[in-house]
Amino acid sequence: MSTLNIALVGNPNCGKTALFNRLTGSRQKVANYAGVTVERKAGEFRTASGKTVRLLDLPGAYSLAAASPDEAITRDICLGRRSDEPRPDLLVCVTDATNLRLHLRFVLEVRNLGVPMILALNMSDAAERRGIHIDRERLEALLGIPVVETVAVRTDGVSALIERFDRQLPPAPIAQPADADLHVEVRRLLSQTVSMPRATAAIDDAIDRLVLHRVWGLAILAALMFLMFQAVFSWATPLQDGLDTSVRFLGDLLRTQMPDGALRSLLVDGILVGAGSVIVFLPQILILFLFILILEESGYLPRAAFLLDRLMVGAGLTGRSFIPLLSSFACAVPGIMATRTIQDPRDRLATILVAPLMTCSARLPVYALLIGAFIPKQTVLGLFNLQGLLLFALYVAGIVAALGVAYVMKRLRRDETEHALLLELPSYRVPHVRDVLIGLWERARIFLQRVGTIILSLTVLLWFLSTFPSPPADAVGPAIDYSFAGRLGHALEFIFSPIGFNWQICIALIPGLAAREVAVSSLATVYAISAAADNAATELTPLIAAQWSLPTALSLLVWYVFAPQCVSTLAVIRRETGSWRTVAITAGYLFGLAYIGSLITYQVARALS
Amino acid sequence: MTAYVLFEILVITMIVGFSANRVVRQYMPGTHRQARRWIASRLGLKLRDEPAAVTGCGSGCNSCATGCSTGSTGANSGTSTEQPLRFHPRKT
Repeated sequence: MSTLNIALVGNPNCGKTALFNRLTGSRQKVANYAGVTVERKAGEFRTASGKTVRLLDLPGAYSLAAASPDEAITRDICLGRRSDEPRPDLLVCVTDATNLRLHLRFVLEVRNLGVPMILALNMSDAAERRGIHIDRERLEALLGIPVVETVAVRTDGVSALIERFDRQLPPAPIAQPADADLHVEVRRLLSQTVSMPRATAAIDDAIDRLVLHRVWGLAILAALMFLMFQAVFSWATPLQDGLDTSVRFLGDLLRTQMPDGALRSLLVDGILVGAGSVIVFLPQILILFLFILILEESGYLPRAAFLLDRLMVGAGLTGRSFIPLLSSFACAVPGIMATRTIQDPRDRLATILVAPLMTCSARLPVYALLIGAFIPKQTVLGLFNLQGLLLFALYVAGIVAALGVAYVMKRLRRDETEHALLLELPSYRVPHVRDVLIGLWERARIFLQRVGTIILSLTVLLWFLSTFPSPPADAVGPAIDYSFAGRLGHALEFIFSPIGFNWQICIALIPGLAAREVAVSSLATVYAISAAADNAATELTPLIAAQWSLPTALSLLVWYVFAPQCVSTLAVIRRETGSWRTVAITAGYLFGLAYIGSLITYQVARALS
Repeated sequence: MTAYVLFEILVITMIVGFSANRVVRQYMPGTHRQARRWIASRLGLKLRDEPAAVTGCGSGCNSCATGCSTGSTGANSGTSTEQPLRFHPRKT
């Protein structure tokens, strides 16, 4: 039996990916704002009659006249322009049933392609709750295409759609004359098929009056961000202590049970101490993502983009840059990919160049380690956690640096035109507990997989380079001084000593280029190997607190605010811009900023202390 | 040399070799492919066909846990050329 190729198309934020997940059983990211999907995704499933369906989830588009790179993907596949992708046998045009006024225009445009299609009225439960009545049969007759109601977030919400897939393909719709005014046609369809009490939900309007207020809105945004970073330190401690104790217990167990030798050193100093030193930051990462997921699901994020538009335009960016930059707080790679939703190439490039300055979750273990070691656990003004305050300041430093760099770019370029922000504000939604829990589970899985694969592999290699060659018989210094890594660390020390980095930090920076968290595992391994006493090995925090000065710690924190210690980010910049020159500029200015920032911090802190 | 020392050398070689392979595959996929082909040709083995880019992202960062590899191109050209994410059929 041949495979049926189906593509999901529609305006952004109408629930295409939720429908894709429901049909294929996958767990692609969904959120309540436009532009979450910026690339096509393919999945397969079987219908009740055994028909195999290959389903494509395409980025949302407002029109087939693509204005941004993500819309171009949808356009090319719908028009059959791709050599690697057959033209779909059937298009499922997904619409938000609560917002047909906006979505029907695209439906009419897709209908003109003359490809068999089905219209899915998604979120039909939400429409019903808001008193919106859609005469489905009349709409079906007027459009000349099958219309089905769906609720992608409910298990039984797609049965009508699957049942349609089992039937014969609907006939290709008849295209309208090229000069037909689609807006007039939409108004005609709405007047004949839809009755709605009001255009927007009353509760949405009431909340928007507060959160979009020019003063209160910004205050609420600042308070939310502040609460998020306070929670990262305040709530994570018990869980982190539990993980820390488990890692230490395992280390002690291996040390007592295994004979002394290279294998024990690899298992304890390399694998356990290295990977364990990163795993303990899992609770903090999950708390950060708990906040991000709730904000994503609620529909608040586009409002924040609207609030910050004036500030962003002043700095040479656009409100559209907000969501890609916010995505960069998780990881710069999807953040840079999300810039595909920005239509203007100049704005897109500016956003790509500053995205690595956003504090990604990989920086969190480094920040948490240094803050935990050097900043006392005390309360400021009887309310605020001092460690949380510094973490908040580091995140703000990244944002301020991004705005500063964007402003400099704005001053340097000749074209000073500014682009107006046109943004869809979705309806507010109470986040689904299940979606948030799945999101957290996915983040935990990603983090642990990263620790178990690339971080562990790099740590093992660093252990090898720090252990071999063995010291000569008449050696006087520590064994690590004679190893490959020790020699390299000492060789690099003269470059980094002006900014206060010792040779151990120099070693950690090299594998840390691959991924930022590796710096923590590398430091743990290097100190474990060079530690004289066995019990020092698993306790990196007190060790660096005793051996480093405060200026060195501050300097390293500043280094990590700026330095592009992530090969993947540079690779994705190359891929998205198609230019090595842009990669060189990005890496050059970020390393330059990191070095100068750390130099100033170290020298000033040393002079003051 | 005792049996335990030999065992240590064997285990360490395996772990370090596996880790080196993992790092090269992640960060130097082209070199990794060439090395595999070279080794396969020397040993007279046939390599299993690899799927094209497994995902659309292709940065190899592993931040989305889809096990992607590098190589797909950007979408800023006239015709977008990125590769799709692929999933196994749903288990029923």
